[in-house]
Amino acid sequence: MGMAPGMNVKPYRISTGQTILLLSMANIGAAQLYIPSLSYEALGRSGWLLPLAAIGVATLGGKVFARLGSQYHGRSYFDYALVIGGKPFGRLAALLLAIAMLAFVPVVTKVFTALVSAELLPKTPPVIISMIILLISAFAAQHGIEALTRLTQIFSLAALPLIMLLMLAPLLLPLEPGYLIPVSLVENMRVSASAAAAASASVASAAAAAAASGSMLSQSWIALAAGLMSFPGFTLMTVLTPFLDKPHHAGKVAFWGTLLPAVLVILSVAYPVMIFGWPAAATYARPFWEVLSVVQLAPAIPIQRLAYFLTITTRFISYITLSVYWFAGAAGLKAVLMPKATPYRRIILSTAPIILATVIFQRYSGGFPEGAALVHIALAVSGLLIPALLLEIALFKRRVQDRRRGRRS
Amino acid sequence: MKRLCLLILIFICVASVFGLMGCWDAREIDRRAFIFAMGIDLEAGGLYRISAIAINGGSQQSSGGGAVAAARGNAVAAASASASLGASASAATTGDTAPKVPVLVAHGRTIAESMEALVSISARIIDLGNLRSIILGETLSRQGVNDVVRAVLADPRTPADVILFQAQGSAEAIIRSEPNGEEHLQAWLDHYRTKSILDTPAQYFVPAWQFRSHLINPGQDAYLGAITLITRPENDASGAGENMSDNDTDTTTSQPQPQPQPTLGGIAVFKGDRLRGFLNEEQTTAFSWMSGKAGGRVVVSSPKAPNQLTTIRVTAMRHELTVSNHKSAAPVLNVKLRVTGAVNSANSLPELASLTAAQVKKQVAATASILQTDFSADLLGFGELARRAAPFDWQPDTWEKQWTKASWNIFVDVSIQTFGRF
Repeated sequence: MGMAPGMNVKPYRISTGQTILLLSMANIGAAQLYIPSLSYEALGRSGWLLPLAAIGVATLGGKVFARLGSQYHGRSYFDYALVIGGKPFGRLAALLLAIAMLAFVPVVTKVFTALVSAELLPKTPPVIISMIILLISAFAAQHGIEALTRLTQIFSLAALPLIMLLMLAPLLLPLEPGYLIPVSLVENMRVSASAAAAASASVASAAAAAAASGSMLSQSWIALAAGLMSFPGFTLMTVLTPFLDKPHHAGKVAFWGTLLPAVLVILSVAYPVMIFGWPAAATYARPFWEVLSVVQLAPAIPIQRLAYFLTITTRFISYITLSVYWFAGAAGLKAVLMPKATPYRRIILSTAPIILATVIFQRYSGGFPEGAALVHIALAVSGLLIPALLLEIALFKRRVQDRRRGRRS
Repeated sequence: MKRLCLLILIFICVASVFGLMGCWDAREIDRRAFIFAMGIDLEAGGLYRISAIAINGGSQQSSGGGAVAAARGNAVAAASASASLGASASAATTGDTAPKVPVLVAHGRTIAESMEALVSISARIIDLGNLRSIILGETLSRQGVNDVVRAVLADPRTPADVILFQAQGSAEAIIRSEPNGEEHLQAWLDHYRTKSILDTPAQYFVPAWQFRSHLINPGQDAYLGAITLITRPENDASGAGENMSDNDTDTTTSQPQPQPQPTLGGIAVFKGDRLRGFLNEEQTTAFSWMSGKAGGRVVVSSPKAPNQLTTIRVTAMRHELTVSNHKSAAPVLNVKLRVTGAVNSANSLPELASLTAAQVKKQVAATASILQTDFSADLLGFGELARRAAPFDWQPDTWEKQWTKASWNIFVDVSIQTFGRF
């Protein structure tokens, strides 16, 4: 490889730190699908507690893949799922996860396009923006995981300090932590239910009122479920574990790779409540954007266009999210359906028109994204519940094998 | 083949750039008119009337505010907007004399329709990105402003940090006013805002997002800085106090009639989203103190020498607001103020401190009484404090009843420093 003799370099391996960085970026990109106003609706002024629960879910998922990875060293989930579950079930499980990962790409692209279209390029046809996003993401994805980790390192040099500064900027505003009181899920559920009832009371007919109330409550519950999977980056451990130079660190990677994005989301949910108050914060489509829009250095000295820095930074990060999910989905398809010699480029380019079509025909009006919620739930099932089941099967098989060996010996 | 694919990819990326940027959509400053201040009134027929100071970009006559360039009498003539929409728009001038800056006027059945009419009124592109102040008319605010504020702020062209004001009377009259020595109303407001908070209470400048939060969040009522038009003799309005003898001459023959001058000297008090009334300058200063903001002056006289007045500047203020007995029908509202005053010369500072404390307490109590009894408005957010103390029991409706029966417990502690030469 042209390396100087004695250099401690492991080609085609990624370190724990690089993987944490990659997962952080992937999770920050995924967190843009998190709707703070819906978390307020679901948990009221304690909506900022939801990302904390999401850290727990991600850590649990990371642990599952760490255990599986340690049993099937050097192999991806898509390979050992067939071994554990047998051909029909294992293949179905792997295929489901690969499709869920690929389905994540158009969902993120749609939100990405909507934000760029609304804030930066209002007169450009959204299809053009989506095409360019997908072209860049496909170009990055086809080069594989090592190239993506290096790209992440370069991006993070600019993105992370900027994001940290943006997260500190609201401290210039008068914060009222008292608006977060009470920290209670029960109280807020009660308030949410009464808010839904009050909203339904304003609708003319009783049937429409009941439907509106039911819809709001079901949205709250779906948002709650999807919110727990706000940081689905741990599902990437399916393909990252074999590349890790320390595969037993998979759980640690999932935890630390979720912590930074979770802190960012917690702040972006808590700041608007502390500044606008909960009822007012819940009315904004993008509460943290509004907070950044009103930050001032002093009463008469606004910081112009601060919110745009957030948009631009998170757009760069979104490329990482898209590329890494696209790559992971392609790796899954390759393992389950295609010959081993199939290049990633071919899979990625062949899935691109389907993804673009999904982006174009996907309905998204800036409100509650049903598609995103469904993909989150699909990722929870195929990336957490089924792998956990497979782990149980693998452990059971191992125990049976150990018993047999014991009897033989 | 690989290189060809790469070249095609690069070509697509580069070519797509031409589709993104504004080759056909250049934004030149001299093709735009910048709206800096806007007034919203409610007309008798239920139509909203928007009046706005529009500064044409690229003009040679620039002043103070950077891109501010106003051509005298450069009001943009415009035809009525589509009659089918029920909206109309017209350019306007100020009476017989040419105005310093153009004022555009548009009206419509909704705020959104009025704003669209305003945007379409001029041959220039109307730029709302520099909108810094919105003034609400008194008739409008008496009817309720929640929907209006929501509609204005929902428009993405409106900056999020725009400042709201309440007009005493018509907002349009204030928009059309020409402050002495200033190019237009917004320049006058900008200068006020950049003064020290010791000179201008911060309460005069309420950002729209903050006002909206107060409207929506239960437990605190909203307020805005109030602007009123006052007609003073020309030289008096300048504030210099020079050539006072000129006032004795007949101004109708030798001098033009004095223009009404905008004055920022109080706050408008809202209950819910409706305007209830106004606090004058002295009451607003007391309200500022209760909010923990320094500024203003206290004038005291010793009982031994009633004619000898001493003025103390309030240079620092610490406040503490609490609610006790919050579950009872008549809660106690505690206001604890620690005031630091400055005086140029004084012989007996301890006596002056106690006199000042008594005077501050008197002013604060009077203002608190007005807020509670005349306006029933909880501007200081005691309701929110009570909610925090008992979050599971607190109800907005119950607090409304408790608020009117609440008693005040005001404690003022003053320390005086001397800064004068003698």
